[in-house]
Amino acid sequence: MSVDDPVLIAARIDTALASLEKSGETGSGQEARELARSIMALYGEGLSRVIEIARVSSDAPVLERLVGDPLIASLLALHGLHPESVEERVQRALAAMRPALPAGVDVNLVSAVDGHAVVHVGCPGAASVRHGDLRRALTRAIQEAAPEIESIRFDGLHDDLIQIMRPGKPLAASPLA
Amino acid sequence: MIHRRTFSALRRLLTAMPIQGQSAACELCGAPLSGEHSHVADTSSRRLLCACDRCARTSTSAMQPVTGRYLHDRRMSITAEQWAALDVPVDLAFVFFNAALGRFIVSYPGPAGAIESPLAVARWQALAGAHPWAEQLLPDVEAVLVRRAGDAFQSFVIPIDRCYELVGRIRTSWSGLDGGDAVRLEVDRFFADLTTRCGAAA
Repeated sequence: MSVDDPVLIAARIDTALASLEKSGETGSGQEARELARSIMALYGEGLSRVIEIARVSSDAPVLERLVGDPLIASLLALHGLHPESVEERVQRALAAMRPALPAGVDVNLVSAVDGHAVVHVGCPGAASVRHGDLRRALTRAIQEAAPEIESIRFDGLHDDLIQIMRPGKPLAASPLA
Repeated sequence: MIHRRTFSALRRLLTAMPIQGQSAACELCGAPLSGEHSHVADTSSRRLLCACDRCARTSTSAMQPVTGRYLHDRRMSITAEQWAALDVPVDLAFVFFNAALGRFIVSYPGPAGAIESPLAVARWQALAGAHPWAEQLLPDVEAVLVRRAGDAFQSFVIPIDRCYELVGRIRTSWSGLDGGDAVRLEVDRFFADLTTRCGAAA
């Protein structure tokens, strides 16, 4: 029996909830319950959308419709279950943006590895485009398609490195030694 | 759509190894456990499980008993550049090879437990290339623990459950924004013990 067997997970939940109940209305006990409720609400909403999508008859394949829902797509990505690779999703996001780019501007994905994406932006000097606006728009599109991406480097734009978020950086980077 | 900040936080919650020492029973057979007990690494779910001695002796490809070397000497020091390549914001980090993911992971302690990120192979090679002790690291169960003190670095090869023990000690003694004196004392005590242990094992 794997440790991810639902029966074992349920047993772990029972144990954790029992000790949580003992902790009463203390601050951390309350926060833990609130966290558990919020996470359940998020997955519950995801499940209700799955049911909704399964109910509606459509010609498009079910999997395609499932990943077309932003919440379901991000839950799948969270668990490494998204049927498309990070690279494919970023490629698709960039392709969707191309028609809306100013004349002469082109964007291409160079790489998407370890949560870090490198995007080449072909931006001729004559093109009238604000680099900041372009960077923001591209960042938003990439993030929506692949929340696993934590930093993006734009080759061809000024100030090319954006650190979206340092994963898990503690509040104070203090010396522990 | 889950906001990226929430996404990162949830992913950390999913991937962080649980802190050891919370279980009073063997997580494989349910037998009661004493305070000091063995651990096995569940390589598929990337969890460290508390185990009784009997279960800990049974090795399968999915369940690796956590055994490992205790190695430390002055030649094992790393350089400031090698440290910088690990890209961790604190002065402690450990690196191990995760067989299921097929890659090296760098992990460091934070106030809420271990924080992990994948380590690019090139960066690992830059670190381990000159260190035969690091190249022979056992997957999943052994880690290289590095501690920085100013310009000096100490490295140890130790069983991975000791790394999570350190993470747990830091988490429980952490106070305020910078951890406080209790954390520093706890970390010093851990390393003093480790140095003794490595001396004894050599």
